[in-house]
Amino acid sequence: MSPAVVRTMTVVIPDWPAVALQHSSDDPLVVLERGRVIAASAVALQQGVRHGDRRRSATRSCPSARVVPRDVLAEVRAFEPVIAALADISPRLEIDQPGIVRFDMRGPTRRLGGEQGVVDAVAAALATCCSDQTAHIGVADGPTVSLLAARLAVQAPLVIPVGGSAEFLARRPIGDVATVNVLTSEGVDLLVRLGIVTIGDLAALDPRDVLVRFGAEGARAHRIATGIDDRPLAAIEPASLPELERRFDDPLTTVTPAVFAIREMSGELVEALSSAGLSCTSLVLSAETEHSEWTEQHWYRAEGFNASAIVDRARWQLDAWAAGSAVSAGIVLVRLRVVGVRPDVGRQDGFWGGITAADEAATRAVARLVAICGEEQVRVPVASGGRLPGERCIWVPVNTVDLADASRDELAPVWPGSVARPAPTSVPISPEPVEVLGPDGSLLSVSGRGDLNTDPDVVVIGGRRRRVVAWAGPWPLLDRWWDRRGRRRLARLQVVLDDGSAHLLAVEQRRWSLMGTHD
Amino acid sequence: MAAFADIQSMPVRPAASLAVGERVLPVADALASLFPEGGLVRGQMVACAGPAARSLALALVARSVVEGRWLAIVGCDDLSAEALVESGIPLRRVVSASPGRAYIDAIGAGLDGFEVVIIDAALIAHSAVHRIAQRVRSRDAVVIVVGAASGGVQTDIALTTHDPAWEGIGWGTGRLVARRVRVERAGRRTPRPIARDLWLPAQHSAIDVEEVTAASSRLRMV
Repeated sequence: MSPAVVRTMTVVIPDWPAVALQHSSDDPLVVLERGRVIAASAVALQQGVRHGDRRRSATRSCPSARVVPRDVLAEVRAFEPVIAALADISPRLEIDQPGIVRFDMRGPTRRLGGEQGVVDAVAAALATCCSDQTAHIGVADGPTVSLLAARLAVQAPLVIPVGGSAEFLARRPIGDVATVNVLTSEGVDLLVRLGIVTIGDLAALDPRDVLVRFGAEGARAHRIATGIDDRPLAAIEPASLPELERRFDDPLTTVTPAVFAIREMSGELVEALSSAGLSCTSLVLSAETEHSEWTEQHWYRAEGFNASAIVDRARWQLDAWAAGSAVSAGIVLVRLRVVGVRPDVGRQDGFWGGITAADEAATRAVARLVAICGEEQVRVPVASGGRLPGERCIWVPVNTVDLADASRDELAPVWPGSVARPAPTSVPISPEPVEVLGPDGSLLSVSGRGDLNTDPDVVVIGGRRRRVVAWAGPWPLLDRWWDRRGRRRLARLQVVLDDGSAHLLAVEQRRWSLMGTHD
Repeated sequence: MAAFADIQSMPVRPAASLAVGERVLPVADALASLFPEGGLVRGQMVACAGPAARSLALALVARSVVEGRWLAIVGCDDLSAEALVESGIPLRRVVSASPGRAYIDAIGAGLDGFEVVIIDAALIAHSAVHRIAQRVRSRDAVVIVVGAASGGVQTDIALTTHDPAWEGIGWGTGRLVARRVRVERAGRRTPRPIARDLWLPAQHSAIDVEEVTAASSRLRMV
């Protein structure tokens, strides 16, 4: 792929998710997504709220903050005036996400007498539509570097001269590549640990080594580091984007086979794009009948289309079209045309390729399970933390988590004070009282110093008496000692009974209970 | 046009089967010899009973979930999520449902969307066994029935755990480390019963199943 580097301007309005929702400029607003601050209004930022904070630390920094969830629809709506204002300068605006817009500089530069003229015109246009909000303007070779320039252009527009990307990037910290979605923050961490602290260090490496060690994502970071921003703007060369069509000799009288055809085509399309490291964000879906009746619709999906998302839209569009009176003959043609792409940042790995159907089918089945069992009765495991069985991972209602969120797998290390693995396989939902008796039939107790009064001999679980054949412990635990109401002082005991079953028991305030069973 | 003819001749199958075509889901190496096909066969029911039934069930499904399939757990309300992790099961593809009386519908929904389903035997009434078995056969999922009450559930393969022996724990010393257990296979699809000795869980391995060999038959205390 020959690098088609295009002078690009990017306009970034920082914290757009908050700007779009704030009532006035002194509204202390904090926008959360998945429990983390993604944007905050100027007032909140001044008081110390940081991006990536959790809700608790954000409200600690800014107690008067109004904390709201993200509302993308409102962001898009609020962004309309900005787009309208810029449309006079360039008709081909590419909207990255609400708050970030970019365009090809070449046309406007000729028309407005140089790049400075364009920058002035954009600044003037923005002043009319969002005067109380600073917009950052960056100009550079290619969209990625111009986005980075815009993010850094806090005081004044930043124009990086033609061919000057590599020099500009050389002394920037490597973390910058994460802010423009070139590498994940994990990738950046790894680079830093390898001693690569500036983008220039990365550029100095042999591209082959980078490719071998970091894969395609790393290779792309390297290309950008050396000043070659190879991603073509979607708005520039629509002809190069894939387009698939299928003609039918026998006109289709029902929608279903057409949707089947689109399913096959979309699989091909998605595969072709993802092998080029791209994902499709907007596409035009069209169909034609024998009598030349025509439907064409432009679909947009910010997170990128996977095959089944395309199929869903095909179904919606064709069903609605066929239900209307406009159709008098069978379908002879369906066509998919990609009009917008963006780099595939790799977050959707699980949703591409062969596994797609499994994830989608499970997601649908979960909705049915919720309908059958009730919201609270369908649960998923998430990582948590604690020292007792059933605390390190907990079950939460499925509606409270994002099923596609892979971070649920990320377990914290085992807390000190926990009983080492294996964990019991069953943990009673409500405490189950048991009796633990010594050889003389007296109740076993643990002293304040953590000593047993006698060895355990018999355990009664659910009315059944079993002799103890092996035991270990007691392990005392003072949990949440700082919390007057939540504090627990208990001692744990592992026992193996004469039927071979193994249990974890606990004594708390002289009462024994079953904490878990290894079955 | 040939392409379109292909589409029309395509059989319509449940979505789950579109994902992966193979008939046998792989299991951990130490468990493969318990199955005539070397793994879990779609459309079949497997029962796990005895004192290590749950550990065995989790060990059976772990590899499938790791490879990207989804696991539904129906009726095992007190199953520990941490035990899933220790069995090597990625949490993000696990869903648990407590259907109560509507269990037949819930199992049906589970079979439609999940490739591996674990059901607590205590949930299934004797009269419903047949209906469930029929639904399982017509789907591409593997069903594991866990628990002692599987007397009425006639499954394709019945695995029973016997004679658990814990290692690492003494009289007031050590702790539970590993368990040696004998697993016996019987059931409709098995001509003659066979037995294997397994470590379940084993001392270190991630999948927590390890065939007992002469060398590892006695665990060294650490």
